[in-house]
Amino acid sequence: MKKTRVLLVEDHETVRQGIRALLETRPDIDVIGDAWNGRLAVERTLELKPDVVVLDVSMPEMNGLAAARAIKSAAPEVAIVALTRHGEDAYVKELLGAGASGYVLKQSAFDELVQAIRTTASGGRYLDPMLEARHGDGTTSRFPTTPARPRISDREASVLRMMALGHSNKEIATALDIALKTVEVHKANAMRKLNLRGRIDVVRYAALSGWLQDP
Amino acid sequence: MQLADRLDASLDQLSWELRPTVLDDLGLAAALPLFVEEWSSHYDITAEYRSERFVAGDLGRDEEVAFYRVAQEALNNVLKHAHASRVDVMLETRDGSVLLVVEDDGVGFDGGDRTNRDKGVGLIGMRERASLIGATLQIESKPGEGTSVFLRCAKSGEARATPV
Repeated sequence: MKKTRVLLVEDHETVRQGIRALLETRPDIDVIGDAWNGRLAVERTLELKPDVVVLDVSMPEMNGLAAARAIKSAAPEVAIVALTRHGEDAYVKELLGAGASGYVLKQSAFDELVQAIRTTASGGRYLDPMLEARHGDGTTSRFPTTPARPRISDREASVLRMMALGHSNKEIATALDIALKTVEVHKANAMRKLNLRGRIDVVRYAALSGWLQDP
Repeated sequence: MQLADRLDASLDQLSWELRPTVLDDLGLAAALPLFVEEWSSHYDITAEYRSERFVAGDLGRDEEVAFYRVAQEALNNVLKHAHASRVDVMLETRDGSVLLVVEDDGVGFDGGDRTNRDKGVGLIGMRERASLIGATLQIESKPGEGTSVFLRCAKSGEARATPV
């Protein structure tokens, strides 16, 4: 049986040794090396050519995210399993975006890591079941589809467009050469007519109206 | 055990507010929306985040930290003073500069009102952070019409205003 060759990257010595000892109890897994920061992880990946890199995320001297990017760009055939205590979507999204094909939480059962190694070694993707369970309860967008187009004046439209581009009322007043008070009135009227509740609504409206294209 | 749990939870929150590992680990593009989401659910104020065009590398490390801190400070002011029902947070790169907007629909304040001393403290802190990275901070508010905080900084590699 061909064993899966694993590089283990984790900055905490005790944790690293513990994971290594547990992995070595599995007959199909061979831990061929380890590293304790992202920079070393990249070096050793290139040197040892493992099948799978088990990668901690929060580490000194190049964190796991930067290391994942570097590994995938230098050795795209190597699979990466992120191993972290962070289950937030932002982490998952960034790590998967950087090329990790496995994502396992440190608080999960050890077998999750083993499964992730096996699955990613054969080209699959593996997401910790604790995350799978949580996905899908994401909030849906509150904003309605294409806004109806009640009539707003050209002046109101100009004010909204500049607002969407991130300008303050004062800047809009200067740019359009009108009084600050006038800007405020146009803005309030246009937002009321279009039922826009804040700047992000205005940006959406502007985007749907095609006002935000690059020149 | 219960006390330990509670201590642990408080420490968790402190570290969440003060030492954002997420900012070190993932950068502003991922850390800011996460903070806004947690802030919103923690304080039960609707907050929406939008960023379409900001990408990693648009700001250097120091600038990212300053943007994060100003956003935190602005949201902190919303919490303490604004009585807002919703907040919009935007981070965009456009025309060679990066812009952060934190805008609430709260009670606002009169810019010239000198009695707003304690509000001033947060504002001074934000101004200092902005000037340290050569960014400009603009605050617009009127009684009853919410408050908007704008932080604008040249994108990395573009000419930058000299810090004063």
